Amino acid sequence: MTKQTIHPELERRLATLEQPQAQGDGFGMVDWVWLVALGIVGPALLLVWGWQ
Amino acid sequence: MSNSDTTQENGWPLTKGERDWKPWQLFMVLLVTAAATWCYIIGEFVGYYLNLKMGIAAMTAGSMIGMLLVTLAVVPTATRYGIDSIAAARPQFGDRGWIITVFLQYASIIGWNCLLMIFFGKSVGQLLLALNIIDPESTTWVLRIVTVLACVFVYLILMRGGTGLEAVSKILFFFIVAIGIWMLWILLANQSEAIAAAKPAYASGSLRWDYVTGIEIGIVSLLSWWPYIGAMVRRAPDAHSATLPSMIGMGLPVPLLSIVGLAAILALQVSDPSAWMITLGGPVYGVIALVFVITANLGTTLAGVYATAVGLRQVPALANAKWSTLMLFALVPVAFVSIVVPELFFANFGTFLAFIGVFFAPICAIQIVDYLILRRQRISIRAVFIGGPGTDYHYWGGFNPAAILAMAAGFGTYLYLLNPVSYASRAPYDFLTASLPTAVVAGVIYTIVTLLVVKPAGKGGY
Repeated sequence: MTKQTIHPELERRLATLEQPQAQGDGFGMVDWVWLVALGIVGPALLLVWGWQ
Repeated sequence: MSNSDTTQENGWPLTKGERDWKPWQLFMVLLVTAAATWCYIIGEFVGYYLNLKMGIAAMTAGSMIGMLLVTLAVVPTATRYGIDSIAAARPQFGDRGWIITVFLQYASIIGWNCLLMIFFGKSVGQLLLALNIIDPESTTWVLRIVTVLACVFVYLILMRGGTGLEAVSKILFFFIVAIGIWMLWILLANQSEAIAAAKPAYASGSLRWDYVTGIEIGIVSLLSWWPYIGAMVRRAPDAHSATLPSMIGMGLPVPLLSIVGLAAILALQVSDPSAWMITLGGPVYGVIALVFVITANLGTTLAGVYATAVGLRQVPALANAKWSTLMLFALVPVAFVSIVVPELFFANFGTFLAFIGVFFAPICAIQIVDYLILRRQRISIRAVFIGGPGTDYHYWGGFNPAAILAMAAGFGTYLYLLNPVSYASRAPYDFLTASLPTAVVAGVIYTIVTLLVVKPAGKGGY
């Protein structure tokens, strides 16, 4: 690891965000459903409708 | 770092307590960012190839697919660690290689802002001409003067940083939605027969090619959100709070507003509402359309300049620059292009769109496979901000060969499938588009090189 001078405020933030409980959660099951519905299923249905 | 900068502007990660935007706040900011007059140009471009029904289907489907790629690439990392799109790309590109993403962010946002400013200047000139306030020869000067004034206005608002962006978005949100719906209604109510009977001007003769091209335009248009979205979704506390605002607030406004441009080009052969609103309703309608153009473009330009300034902060040479200096880096090129070569830039919109697809489709794919699959949604936030030999994201000399090779493979794939200048294509473009195969190839190459070379070498912090 290279020795670097780290701004104290940046160091505080990094130390905080290294704790899993201080991080934001990722996508949940409901989010994945929305993503699939809006990004895959919906577009597929639209393309079928448009082609008819 | 300038002492006067807030944490939002200095590019450092935001702690959970600072990420206080509710979903509706993020929704408004993203919608105002997405809703700009580029929608009319995108709609116009699709209207060259497709009728209204097919155009709506292709644009909307393509846009939502593009938005899905951008959301999967940026939102999980940005909302977990409170970082923007550029910082989120460091684990993949390396602590020196990420400069590639800075350059692409800078180039794309500058490009879009040039387009917005030129469109704005043209609209003002069009309106003043219709009102007999200026003569045709003066429109070029009007465009230049208006552009410079708009840049100064954006600069002054963003001196307040992200606070200025969110405050302006609150005001613009309702105005943009209401006027956009009203303009679409005016157009459909007055020109429904002309729209239904209209034939696309540059239809290729192959309906499938035209349809796929409409989808491709939708995808690449929304891939443009990659540089923008990180600076805003990082203000959300988690991915859940940003999912629907991202997919609906940023994904849907473009195709919906593009319908206005699509219908206008089919019926009236012009997509600028400041021009066709005068035709349909006289000067009063023209003024309303112009006010809409101003407000819609203002919100987007603000967001673009803000995201660019936050991204530039990551460049070591600019780490200690003042916030006001960073904004000049984002605004001066826009003013320069808008003043010197506005027509040349405006005439090459299709090439600019293809440029977006060439680069951002591989970037999205690389981030998706790396963060969601290879890293199982965990990165070293310390290594994102502290690089150098021995750190996780230093790879070889600061560059990750997996990302470089994946970008090159994606670049080659896109160019093979679709010529960005002539729009000449090769199979299987007319089945698959150019962006989606590009993303798949880049993702596969990245995965293979990572598994065979990078991980066995103990690089990358996997």
